[in-house]
Amino acid sequence: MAGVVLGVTASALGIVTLSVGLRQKRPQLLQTGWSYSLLVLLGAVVAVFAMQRALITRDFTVQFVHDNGSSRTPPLFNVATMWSALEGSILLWALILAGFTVHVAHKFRRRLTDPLVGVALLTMLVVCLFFFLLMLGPANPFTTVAIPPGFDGPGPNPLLQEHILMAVHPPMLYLGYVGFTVPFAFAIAALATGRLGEGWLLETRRATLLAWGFLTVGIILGAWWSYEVLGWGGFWGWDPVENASLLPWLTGTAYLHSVMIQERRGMLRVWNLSLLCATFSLTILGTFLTRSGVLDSVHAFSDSDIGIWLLSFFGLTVAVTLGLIGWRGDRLRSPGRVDSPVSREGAFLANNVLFAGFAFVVLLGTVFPLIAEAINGRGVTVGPPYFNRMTVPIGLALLFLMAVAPVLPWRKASGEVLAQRLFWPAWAAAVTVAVTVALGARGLGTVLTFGLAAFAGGAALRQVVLATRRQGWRGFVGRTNGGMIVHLGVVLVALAIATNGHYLREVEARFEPGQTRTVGGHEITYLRTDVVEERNRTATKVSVQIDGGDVYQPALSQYPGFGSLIGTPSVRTGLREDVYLTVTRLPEDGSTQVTLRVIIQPMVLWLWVGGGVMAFGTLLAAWPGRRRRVPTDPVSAPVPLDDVPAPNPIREPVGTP
Amino acid sequence: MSRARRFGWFVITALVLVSLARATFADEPPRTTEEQVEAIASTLKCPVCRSQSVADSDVAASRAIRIEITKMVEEGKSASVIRARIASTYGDQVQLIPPASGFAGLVWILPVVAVVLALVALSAAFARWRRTPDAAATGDDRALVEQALRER
Amino acid sequence: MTDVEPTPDLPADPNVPLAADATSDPSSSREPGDDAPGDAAPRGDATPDGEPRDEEPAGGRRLALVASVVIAVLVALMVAVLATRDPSTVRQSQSPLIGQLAPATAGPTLDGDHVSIDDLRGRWVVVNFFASWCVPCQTEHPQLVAFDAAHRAEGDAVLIGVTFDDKTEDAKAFFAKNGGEWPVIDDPENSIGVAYGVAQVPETFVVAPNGIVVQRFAGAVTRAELDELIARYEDPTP
Repeated sequence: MAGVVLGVTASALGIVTLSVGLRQKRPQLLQTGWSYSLLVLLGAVVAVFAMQRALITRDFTVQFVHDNGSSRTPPLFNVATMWSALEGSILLWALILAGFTVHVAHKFRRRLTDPLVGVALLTMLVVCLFFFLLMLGPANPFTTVAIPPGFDGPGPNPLLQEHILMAVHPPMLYLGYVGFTVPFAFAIAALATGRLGEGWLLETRRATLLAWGFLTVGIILGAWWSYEVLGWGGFWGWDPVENASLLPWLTGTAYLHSVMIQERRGMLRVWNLSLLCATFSLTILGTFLTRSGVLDSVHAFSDSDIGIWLLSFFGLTVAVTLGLIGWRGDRLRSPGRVDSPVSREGAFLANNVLFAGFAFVVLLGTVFPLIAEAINGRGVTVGPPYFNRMTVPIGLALLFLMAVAPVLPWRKASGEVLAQRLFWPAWAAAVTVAVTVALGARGLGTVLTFGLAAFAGGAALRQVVLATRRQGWRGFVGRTNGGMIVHLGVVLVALAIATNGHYLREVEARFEPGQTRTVGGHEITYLRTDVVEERNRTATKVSVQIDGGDVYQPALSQYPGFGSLIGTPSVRTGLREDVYLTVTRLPEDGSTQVTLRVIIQPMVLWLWVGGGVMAFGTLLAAWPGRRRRVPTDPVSAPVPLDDVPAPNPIREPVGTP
Repeated sequence: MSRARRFGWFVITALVLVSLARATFADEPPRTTEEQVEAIASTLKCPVCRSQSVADSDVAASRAIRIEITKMVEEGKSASVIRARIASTYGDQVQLIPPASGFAGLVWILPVVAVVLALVALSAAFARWRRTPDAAATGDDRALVEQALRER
Repeated sequence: MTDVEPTPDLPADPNVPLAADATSDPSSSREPGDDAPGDAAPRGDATPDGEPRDEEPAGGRRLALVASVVIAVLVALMVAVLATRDPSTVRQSQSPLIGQLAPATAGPTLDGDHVSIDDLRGRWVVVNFFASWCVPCQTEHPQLVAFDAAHRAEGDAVLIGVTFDDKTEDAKAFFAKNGGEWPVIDDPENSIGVAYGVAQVPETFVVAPNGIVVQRFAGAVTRAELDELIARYEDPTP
């Protein structure tokens, strides 16, 4: 608890000091920002340390451990219990946030007296203050409770104990969410000080990229968890909480692309700042939607009155952002222009529109039931069919852009150039479409996805091949090339989703012991049922043999302290398809029949592989590139063909005849 | 563009168009009852669970609804009739696809409106950009460039 | 001309100080379009005394201001809606059946007889969906026993039970153990439950003597609630 109080006081004092320093232009006060950040981090570390110690020693006098801990929980999940419920996850958020604040203070330590950095640090401390205050107030993880002797807690929700992913998914997601606070702080600072044209954008670029990477990984892991643990056989259900994590990812992706126009042409500065602010605001809104319980969700593991705090903070953030933009934005816009819609800039503009539209649709669909209820009184549900219908066209358009944008020159493109550069990718697309249709694929959406994915994949591969031909291994690193690898990952994900959606086969059937059925080309044999007492649950495991080979054990488990049975699927992962098994009905008295649901899921492995490729590509993109030889080189000056710096590095920009 | 390349593009276009046409308009084999039930059930929300469809969930209510849907499919009723029937007893919020009429229709219309607005805004922006003249390099700009080149 | 592709980036040296003037600022991403056209002193975004110098609004329009106001209004509306919602776990006992004729409620009972709600027109009918394994059903059972006993004597209201997701033997055992003499329809396929829109047991529907459904109770019901409801409809004077 002392840690939390320390965090609150340190951030509050820091805010006051920095504000005074900025207001009265006293550099020595601004320098103290560094120490205050460190104190905040210290507070967070102390608090986390205390919580983990309470969890590990099973100190049930702490309310949080009382509600969520148990002597039966395996050690790894016990550590992860900290973020299995609300209060602990706020603690995790505060820790990561404090870490990033110190990182910012450290990275800009020689420039702390610059008002821009001062405002940025101030913003970060304000966010820190908010989260620490949450822990003082509605989300206090350290309230104590009197326990009867011999008390043993219920452990975290069983769905959160099933899988190793539980230990990893929230931290990754939070690293992403919190990571976006850094560029957001600088965006606010830039708007407040009016200094938009400077290098802070480049310097926070790596932080933004890594935050985006973590968010991507967090979302993919969430989908993986949903698939492996929840038992309904899907990986994305357009659940409000899933949407909440997708929204900042969408605006973040739009930002990462749109910022390239800004670097190249100096345009869209205010729009990019808005995207950054929107991304951060959406992370707060997302946390609100997840934690407040206003929307039905598989994820709703806790209800509390933290909702109103989060909503207020969201409102505050949006108010400050919109206030700054409304006041300053028009004066800070640059008067550049885009020459032609058929150009790299045009493609990025279209990209902006598509991602903004995507985010709009997802947000609308998610909150519309609440709005309808408020206005109409009657309930409306917006389910997966709506989201799929709306987002598939957008996704297809994005795939198309992914194929075309990397080959479009800046400023203006000619049909010749495009036709020449896209020739081989177009062949890849045509062959893919023809072959898949010949093999039986039907449905315009599915086949278009195959074709456009091949198109985009071909374009990305082409870029990588050309880059490695010119620069060797360096053709893989750097923003452009890493970006192409990320695109390849997206292509894999798109292909996996399309194939899975179209070719999925599901059968629910009753089995007698020893009976075999054929499902989707696989032989499924029910062997027997066993009841197994494990440390934290009583599991009824159903042994099923697939194709006469390995035995898999989907189960229905009873966790003490939780009423209903929790189903655990068992999945045989394969290169081409997964065989997904769940038990829907156990043998009842007098019967030995068991009801199994068997789902043949094609290509699911490639979804996770695609996610991994995206993460890898992000790392490649964040790889430090060559230093500029000369300060006046443009941002993307051509690299000399041999490794020796050319005597005259100022060259013609790419694209001039 | 060379003739070979032009021909190549022609082949690509033809291949794609023909395959797409075939994929879209080819007769699909008639769906089994199970597939039809699954399709309808996946557009209805399980009344008890948190955000799962009737097709995916295993609670008693969902299983009972699936049995009811199967009966109605075998009677030959259409999907929309079946959905309406279930919604008449469980309430409209059990429909995962929001209806296209009434207030709920907004959820379909607003995205279209947003797309139209975006296109209009983009065209307006491009029109404005076409009107503004190119920035001409002033003498001061040239001097700056000279100085930078000298300093390097 | 060969394919000259865009090249990798060359990020700035992060340790170069961000200075107020831009001539020695290598990390600036200034492009020719950054300044207002015709400006003769393109020296970055700061005037010599360190204040940011704002440019003239590009295009002369106040786009950012208008956009901010519009978005602010929309977000405020959304926040207002979100702030006033009840948590989703608090659900009303709505039913689209209220005001409609009760669905067909007929079938074999646990005793082997047959009962149908149509035969009971002219009397209040309380249709109770339950299951033997469900804890709230066990809680409400004594209430139903009392209700049934009282109204059976008067003859104005009849209680009918319907099984939902329950086995016939279990339901019979439940009644044998806990008492209760009203007819209970055995519905192994839960089709009557679906006809009433039953999500989860226990649920109780009250049907008026004219056959119209007047109320749905989701969850355990008490005798007092049932009596009060019937009394309210029977005697409309306040």
